[in-house]
Amino acid sequence: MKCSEFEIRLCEFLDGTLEETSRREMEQHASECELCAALVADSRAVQGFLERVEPVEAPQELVTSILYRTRHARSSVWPAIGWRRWLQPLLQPRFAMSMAMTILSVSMLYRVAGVQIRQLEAADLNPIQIWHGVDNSAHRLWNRGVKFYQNARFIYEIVQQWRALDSEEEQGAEAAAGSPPPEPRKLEPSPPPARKK
Amino acid sequence: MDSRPEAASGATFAADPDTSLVASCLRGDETAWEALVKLHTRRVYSICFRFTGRAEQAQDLTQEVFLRVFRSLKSFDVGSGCFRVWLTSLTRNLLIDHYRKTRKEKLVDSIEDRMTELEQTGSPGGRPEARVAGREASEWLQAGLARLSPELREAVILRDVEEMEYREIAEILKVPDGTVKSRISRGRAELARLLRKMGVEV
Repeated sequence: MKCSEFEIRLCEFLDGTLEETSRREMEQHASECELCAALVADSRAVQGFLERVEPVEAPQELVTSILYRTRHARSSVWPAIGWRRWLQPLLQPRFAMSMAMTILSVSMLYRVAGVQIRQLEAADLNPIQIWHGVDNSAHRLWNRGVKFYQNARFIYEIVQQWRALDSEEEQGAEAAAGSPPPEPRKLEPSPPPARKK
Repeated sequence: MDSRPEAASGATFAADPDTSLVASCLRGDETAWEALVKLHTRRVYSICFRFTGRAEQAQDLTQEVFLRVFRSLKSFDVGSGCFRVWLTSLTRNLLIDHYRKTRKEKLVDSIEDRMTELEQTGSPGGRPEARVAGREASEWLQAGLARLSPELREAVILRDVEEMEYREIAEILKVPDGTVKSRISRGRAELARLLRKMGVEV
């Protein structure tokens, strides 16, 4: 056996995966060749040393920074989530800053105008909450309109009745004063025009 | 650089658990990508750290590896390749590029500095008879690996530190099995000689 071949088969010899005849050949060669015997000893020694070596641990923040960096590269790489590209301008610091300034100035205007704004809570930003709020105020507005209409009609009816009574009393007084009794059609109060029921 | 290794023997790795994660990643699943990164960061970092011997460089290189994986994941053939081998191959290619770039610069100086520093602190009167272990052994190993030629260094790291199969290493280094084994044997012997020279009992 040549030393170069010994060098190659040494790996499997140390792993213990060589078959019996090959192993014997190796042992035979090592007993004859000083250099190769040293090679076996050194390799065994290093393997023993490596077992005592503490394994390398990656810093904890490494995963985070990898994920951060790949997230930025994402939109151009995976078209499946390409809609993010459209959202990208809204996520820019410039936009966020101008948005903040707008909110600030609007809130200052409200304050000057004396409008009371309740402290905004996280729960208020819930889309369901917002929908409920809009729905609620729409219903309230409608109900207020209906109520206003009904009130107006009610007052109109009272006024009509009142007028009718007034004219009845007038005619009654005239009859008592000696005039001929009024014609029956005149006594009948005219129905209010708004009443349709 | 982004060319994937020849997956001649890849079909045997079909039951690889990474494969389903990669498939999910390609469908745009963010959690699958996160899982894949978490699963392999330590390994990639370990190879980079053992190869370069510097924590900051290893961190930068690990990030670069994952960025490249991210960009070229589409070129990874889920059906006929082992993701671990593909990833290691990418890491190794990047390390070799990095080595070529920095070879003539400060890397050599820093290794020399570190060697003299370790030689001085480690063995004032010749040879320390203590058997080093744990973190200390890790530092000595680092000093030893830094003096190995990159060829032997990568072979020893992939086999003895990362415990990869010979055929996987052959696939990564793109050399025959025999060459891999020969490099590993020579690398080990050389490492033993270097460690002894530094006064470390092996």
